[in-house]
Amino acid sequence: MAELQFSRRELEDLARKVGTLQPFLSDKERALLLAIFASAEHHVTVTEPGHGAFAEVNVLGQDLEEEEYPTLGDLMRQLLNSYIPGNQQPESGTSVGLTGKVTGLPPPGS
Amino acid sequence: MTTSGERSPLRVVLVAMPFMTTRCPSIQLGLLKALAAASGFPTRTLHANLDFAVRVGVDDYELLCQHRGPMVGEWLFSVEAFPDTAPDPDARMLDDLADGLSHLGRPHRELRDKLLRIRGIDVPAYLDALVDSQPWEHAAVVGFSSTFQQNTASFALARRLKQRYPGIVTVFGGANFDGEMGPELVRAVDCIDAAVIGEGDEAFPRLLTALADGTGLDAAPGLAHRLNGQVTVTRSTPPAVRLDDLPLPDYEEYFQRAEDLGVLPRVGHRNVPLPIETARGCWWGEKHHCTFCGLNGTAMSFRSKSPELVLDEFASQAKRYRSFRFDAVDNIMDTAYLTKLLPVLAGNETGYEIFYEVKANLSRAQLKLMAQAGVTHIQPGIESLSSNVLRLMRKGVRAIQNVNLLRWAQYYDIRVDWNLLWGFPGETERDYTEQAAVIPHLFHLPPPSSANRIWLERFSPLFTEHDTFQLARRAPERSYRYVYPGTVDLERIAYFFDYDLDGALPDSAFAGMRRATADWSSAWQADRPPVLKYWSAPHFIQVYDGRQPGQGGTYTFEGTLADLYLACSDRPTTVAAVRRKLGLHLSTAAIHELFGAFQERGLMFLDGQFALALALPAVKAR
Repeated sequence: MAELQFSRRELEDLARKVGTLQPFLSDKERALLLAIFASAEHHVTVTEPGHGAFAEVNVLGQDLEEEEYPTLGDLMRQLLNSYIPGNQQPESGTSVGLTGKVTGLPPPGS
Repeated sequence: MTTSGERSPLRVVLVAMPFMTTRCPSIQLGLLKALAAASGFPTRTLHANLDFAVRVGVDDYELLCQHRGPMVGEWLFSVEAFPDTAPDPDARMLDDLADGLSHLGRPHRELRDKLLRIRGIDVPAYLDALVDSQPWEHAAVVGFSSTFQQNTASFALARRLKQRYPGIVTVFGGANFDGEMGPELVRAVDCIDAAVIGEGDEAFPRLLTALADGTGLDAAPGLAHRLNGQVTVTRSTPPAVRLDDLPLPDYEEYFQRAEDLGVLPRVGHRNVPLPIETARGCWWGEKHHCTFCGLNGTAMSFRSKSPELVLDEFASQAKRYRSFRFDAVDNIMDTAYLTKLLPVLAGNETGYEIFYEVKANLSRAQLKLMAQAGVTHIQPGIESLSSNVLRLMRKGVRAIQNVNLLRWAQYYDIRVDWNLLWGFPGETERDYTEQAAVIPHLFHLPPPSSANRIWLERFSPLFTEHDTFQLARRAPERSYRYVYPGTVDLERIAYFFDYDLDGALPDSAFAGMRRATADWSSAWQADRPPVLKYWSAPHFIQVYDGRQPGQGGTYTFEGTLADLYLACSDRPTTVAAVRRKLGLHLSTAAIHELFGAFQERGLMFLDGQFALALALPAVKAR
């Protein structure tokens, strides 16, 4: 759920692209498309001259809000700050060797 | 042991002489005894190595059993094996080759005195006692199995027996008699009447039959013997015996003797590894023979026992000898066992502890299965932590697979014995500077048992492929000439050779590796072993790094970084695969860069396109 802002230019571009579909649409589909635009008109707010916004936009299965993906820089910064020195080995869990057994080098001749 | 078809006149004694370890019975003797007995020949085994170990001290004896250069064991018996022609009565070898004796763990003068005492006093007294104390007069055939340093002790006993009992037929066999080595030894050592060349499962009973029937030795395949002053070698047949047809090795007399002599305690439950043979040859070597390996001699073709029979053998031998430890003598485990044997063992409520030699490309799941099946100890063919060097030696694995095996074997509590090798033609100094640099990242994994230049072994491609590998110099390993008289053609009887190999690096190139591996081994002698372990939750991971003494600390990663690290934990993974798996919006170049940053911190191992997290889960094996 989010506000979707747009400019006149973006609206005109979209109208031009949708217009190219006209030869492929049936009468029913053309009517449906006009009904969708008419319905949308009731939800649009003019925010300033030449710009508008849909107050609430929900598209099934897709949130139109842009997801924040970490950049390489973000991740490198996290890596740089990831280490906290401390000599005390955590005691929880078991040691890597499972039984605590240190096998080390095999006995001579094995 | 007798059978219904026993032929009483031809009694056989099979002997294991020094320097075979005391720690387990000889499978060669155990198997040949069972085979001879099944053919009707009353046979007993004599682990005479035990008597010598008791005489000189078992710990010192076991040190002498190790092969680490000069063949001190062979030298100790040389004078008794070749009384008039032994090449080193003045013990020059102990001074000339002193640099190769450090593993015996004594100052030079003390070691020299001890070895001279053993050679001059213990060896003759031991041989006298052996000849006097055993009922040799009942033996028609005395067989010696000889591998590594068992030749001269066997020759020395054979010589004394032939002197006192001229009617005894001495038969030799084992790895030391494979290929051209056997015929040359038969020619040059007159106390050898015959030698089995190659596998003895068919040849030895047929030899006994020929002797019993008086039909002449030419009827037995793969046999070298002297005829009218000339050595005759009968045609050997390809290894045809089905391993499923072999009887169970008989170890009864080993335990009796070891317990009588006090080498083993007389206890109800024996903690002794029972040798078991589930396969012969090498399935990898059949396709790509590792360039340094001479182990399979002339019998590379791979054969294995049926899983059902292996299961029966484990059960029968454990019950018979009251030990649940098994050392597979196979040179490589049959991969079919991963699906047909180990799952059954894992499902059974058995308490076996099994050792296997394996190829190093095992996955986490396979190692987990092995642990569940009771495989507690493995020797993988790791050999290097450089993919370039592994390619040059035709090993068929990448360095990153080797590291992954070390990780999961460690996690599942499987002991790993492995070696680092160097000296391959075509390798570069960079191959070794890179390995030396990465080794501190691996301190939480078990260190190699040894790190050395490769030995040149007979039967290895380095030895046989003259067009591929140019040897500027090749000569029998330097201690042979202190052991064998000049009448023995060392070129034909040696297994180890000194050499200079075109295209190999000088020793100085490996100095960094030597230091790094020494540090690695030292780190494992500490009270607390080095660790690198992680705890994880969804999109969150903490890695405790305790690989360097006094420098512990914790890394904390969240979100994408945590996901990236965990995605590389199970197995070596490519950047593209990680990106696809996690659905990341980062470019592959960016992921590469992040992996590089993990690597700089010693948290990942990178190998070409592959990446592997180095830390192991902190929680108990799952």
